[in-house]
Amino acid sequence: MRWPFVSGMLPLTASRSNARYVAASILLCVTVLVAVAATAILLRQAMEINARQLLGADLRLQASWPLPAAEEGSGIPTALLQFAQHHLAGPGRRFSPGLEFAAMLRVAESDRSLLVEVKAVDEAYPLRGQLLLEQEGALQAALQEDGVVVEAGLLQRLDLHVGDAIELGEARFTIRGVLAVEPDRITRLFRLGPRILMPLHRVAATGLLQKGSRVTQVVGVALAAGEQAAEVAHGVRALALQQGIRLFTPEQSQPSVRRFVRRFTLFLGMTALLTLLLSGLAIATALSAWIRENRRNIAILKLLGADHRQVSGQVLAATLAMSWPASLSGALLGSALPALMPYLMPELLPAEVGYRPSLGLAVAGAAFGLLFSLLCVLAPLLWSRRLSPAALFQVSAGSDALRHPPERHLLSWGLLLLLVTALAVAIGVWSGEKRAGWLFALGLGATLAVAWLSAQGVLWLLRRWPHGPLPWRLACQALLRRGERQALVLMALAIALGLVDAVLFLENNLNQQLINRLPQRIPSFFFIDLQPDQVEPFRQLARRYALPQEESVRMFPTVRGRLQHDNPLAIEEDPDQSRTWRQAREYVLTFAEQMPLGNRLLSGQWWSHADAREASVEVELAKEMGWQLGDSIAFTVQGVTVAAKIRNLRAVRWSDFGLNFFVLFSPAVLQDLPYAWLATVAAEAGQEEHLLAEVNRQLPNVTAVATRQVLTTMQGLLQQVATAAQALGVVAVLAGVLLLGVQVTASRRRRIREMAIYRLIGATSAELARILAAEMAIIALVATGMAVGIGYLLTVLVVRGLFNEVAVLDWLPTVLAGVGGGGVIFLAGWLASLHHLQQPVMRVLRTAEG
Amino acid sequence: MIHLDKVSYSVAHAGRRLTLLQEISLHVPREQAVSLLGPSGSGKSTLLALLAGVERPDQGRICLDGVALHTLSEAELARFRRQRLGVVFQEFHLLPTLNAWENVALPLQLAGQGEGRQQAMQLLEQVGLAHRSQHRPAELSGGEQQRVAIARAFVHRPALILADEPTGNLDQQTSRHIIDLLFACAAQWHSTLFLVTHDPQLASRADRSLTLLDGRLEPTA
Repeated sequence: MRWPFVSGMLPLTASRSNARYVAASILLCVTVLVAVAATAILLRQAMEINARQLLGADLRLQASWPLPAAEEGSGIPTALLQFAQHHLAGPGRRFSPGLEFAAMLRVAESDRSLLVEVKAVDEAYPLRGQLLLEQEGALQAALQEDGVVVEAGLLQRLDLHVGDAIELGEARFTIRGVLAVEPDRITRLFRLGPRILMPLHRVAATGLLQKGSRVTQVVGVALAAGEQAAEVAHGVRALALQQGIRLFTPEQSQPSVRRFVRRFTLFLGMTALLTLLLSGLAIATALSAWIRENRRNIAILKLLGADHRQVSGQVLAATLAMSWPASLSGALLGSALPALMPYLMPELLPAEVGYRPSLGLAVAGAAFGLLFSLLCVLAPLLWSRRLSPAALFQVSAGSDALRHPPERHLLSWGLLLLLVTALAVAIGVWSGEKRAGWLFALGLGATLAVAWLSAQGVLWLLRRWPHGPLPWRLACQALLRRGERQALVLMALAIALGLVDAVLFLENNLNQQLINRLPQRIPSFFFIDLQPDQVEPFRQLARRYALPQEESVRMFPTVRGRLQHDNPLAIEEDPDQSRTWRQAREYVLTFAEQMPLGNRLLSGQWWSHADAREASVEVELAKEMGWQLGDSIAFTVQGVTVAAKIRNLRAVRWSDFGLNFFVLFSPAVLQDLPYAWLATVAAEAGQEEHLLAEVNRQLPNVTAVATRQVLTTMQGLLQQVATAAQALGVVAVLAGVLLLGVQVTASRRRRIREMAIYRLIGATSAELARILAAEMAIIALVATGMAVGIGYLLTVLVVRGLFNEVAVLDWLPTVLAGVGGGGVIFLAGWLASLHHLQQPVMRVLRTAEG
Repeated sequence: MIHLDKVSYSVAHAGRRLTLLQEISLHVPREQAVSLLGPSGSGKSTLLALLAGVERPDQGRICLDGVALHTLSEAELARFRRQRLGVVFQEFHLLPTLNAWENVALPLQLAGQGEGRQQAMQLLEQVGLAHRSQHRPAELSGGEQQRVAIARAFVHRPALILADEPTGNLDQQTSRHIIDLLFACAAQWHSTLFLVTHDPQLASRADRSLTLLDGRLEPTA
């Protein structure tokens, strides 16, 4: 089939405004999709391609056993190393033991101190990847004698330089180098402090590690050439898990980071899909308006003998002509934007993770833009198929030929929803968060249903409220004339704005609940690794600086343990499902005679008698694990099985950032095991530094974690995520505003003709501007009201779901969302409509078709 | 050429069916020029739409050039139109994005007969508009637009020309000019002409004049 006029002349009129909206919407959605996809791939690359380097080995064994008395202070993770050598020994394989723990670093001959994360390594570290220093020289040379290597941030925070002396516990060290690239840098999202690397054999000299100390033992394994890490790990995984050892292959490294990355990319993906939905609606509306404007031309073509294929060919060619430059530009722009990610989210993407735009993704993005525009023109195209050329004749009124076929807005919505749902599920599956993908699709469906009903309700009210000043009445009539199309626009605007409102409300909630209430609600410090003989001296010391209330100093004996389960292999195969994650994670366990302050008993009774072997479980954990009162649960603690019956279920306020426990035992269960103490102190205002200095001086092995410091780190990351969310939210609103503009343009001819008639019968420009203002004010008010509702709904769900808190709904963000969102919609719509007033009356009436 | 056998057609009007054409039968031989008169709303243009195959009768059969229209699908009707039919409208119905020669060449292009520029220019020459071939409809007067429309209707040598009040939007002098042109072209290309008009004087120029009244065809008195 030859398309004679496709290449040279298109017989369909190209409306500049429609073409502009199609191009802008395609540009927006292709840019967002490509940028989000490229970012997701970049994050995955950072995780997957460099996984071996990020692990620092081919396999990593990790255990958080408290050091048994035999190893106390030795600084060598003997038991873990023995496990590795016994079960993983083979020709060509090498092992590298190490320890990771938090400690207070003190500047020599000074009061300055800082919590740091110590990594003690042997001569073989790293087995894979390369550690680089900012200065010339190798790591092992820097760690000779009393040398340590530190992160640049530590030097800045303590005003130190290479060559300065520092103290860790009882040992003194000299800073010999600054870390530039640490291969296994991304091990956790939240760090307690800057990194410091020291030689393993010097750990004993610090005296920091004592019986029951909080320390992570690590053994890296380098496999022989050609060996597959997954296969080797498979052979020992069950045994390792039984003993509380976590085994990481490159594919399984950094589970918490991976989980965060998955959820973050899922969030980006879902927001991008919303933008796609709104852009798609804008494109479909613009194309529909364009086809309507061309209905006479299409009828002429049909009368001259053009069949459906020829007409469709014309429509599709014209659509492609409108969309290809935008698709291409969007693909290029979207490919360029992720280059900024290492600067925007340094925690997740350090600068050394290089970004290289993918040609394949750019081509796919451009192709998607073209195909998407063709999908959006499908409903208008079907409409054009039913357009009869008989309308060109002066046929009698009442002829079916004069009736325009019904427009298929719902078909457009249906097709777009189908596409978005399919993509949401695909993203869910791709990111390993299938459930979230389905929930998004269901949530979107429910939101649309609510928005649809609300929009219909508003139109129903307008229909039954014929009173008010003239501009108001005329504006209502104009809205009602557009009927279903108007309802769809209201929905789309409300969803776009609702997303931004939700981000605004969520940020406000996070600030309210996590940051602003800090001084009243949370302790100043956590103190880790208190030895039993240090409990009394510490309590006396802490009391001197703490607030007078009894609960300002709280202490708990703690051990660390893992849940025992019947099929450990099945758990490791999918460690990121919520339930299996809870099964695999390490728990901080405690025992107490009385229920801790701030906990609330929900069901069951407190301990039955003094020697009872019973457990108290946090209610959400019990729900997730399917535990009931009377069930037996067992943990592996220091290689020993600890079992108890569930006696009661508790509610815990996690957002207090106090000492809270998922599982709490009766004293008989744990008191005979070696344990360390964990303490929290809420200090008097201004006394924090004195308390810290005194603890450092008197109890140097005790690690202090400043809660505010941890929260600041956490807030920093949340801020980065919130910024990304807001940026995408703004893009979604932009898509919504484009949709409004399209809607204004779509009804342009009729509106221009109406305005011309009004002017002909004596209406002034000011009066017409008032009518338009009233119309846009109604749209803005209704869309804003619906958006605030949607925003609150999302906020309540997230705050309840993530933080188990009641959402705070403040008036200020509500007003901001209302005024800001409503203002943008009003101004965009009004200014676009005002343009219609400038058309010369007689020319409009001579040419407009009505 | 045109054969109508008991063709009826009705439309919905104020909730009931209004019969416009009632069992009309008609035979028009090849190359004959027929005019159709009738008051407004009598169904003249509707009959033209039925002949063009863009409307279908409620009852009866229409045969054009030996082809029974009711046996054709939408696509086949489209092909039939581009091969054997030319239409001239009161409103001209030129495509505003195409210039004069492109508008004229359109039926040839739709039929896959190449660019059609030479044939289009030949027709434009014949209607006296070769010098305006690059002009778009908006740059042409009403009479010129109608001359382009006539050139378009004849460019593919159709067997049948349907004209729906082709002078309705033109002044008297231009109308006369257009009608002369229409009849001359029909004679030159041996096309059958079916002309709908309000003007009895114009109707009288046809070989045969009919009047549509109360849904029935009668010879014009």
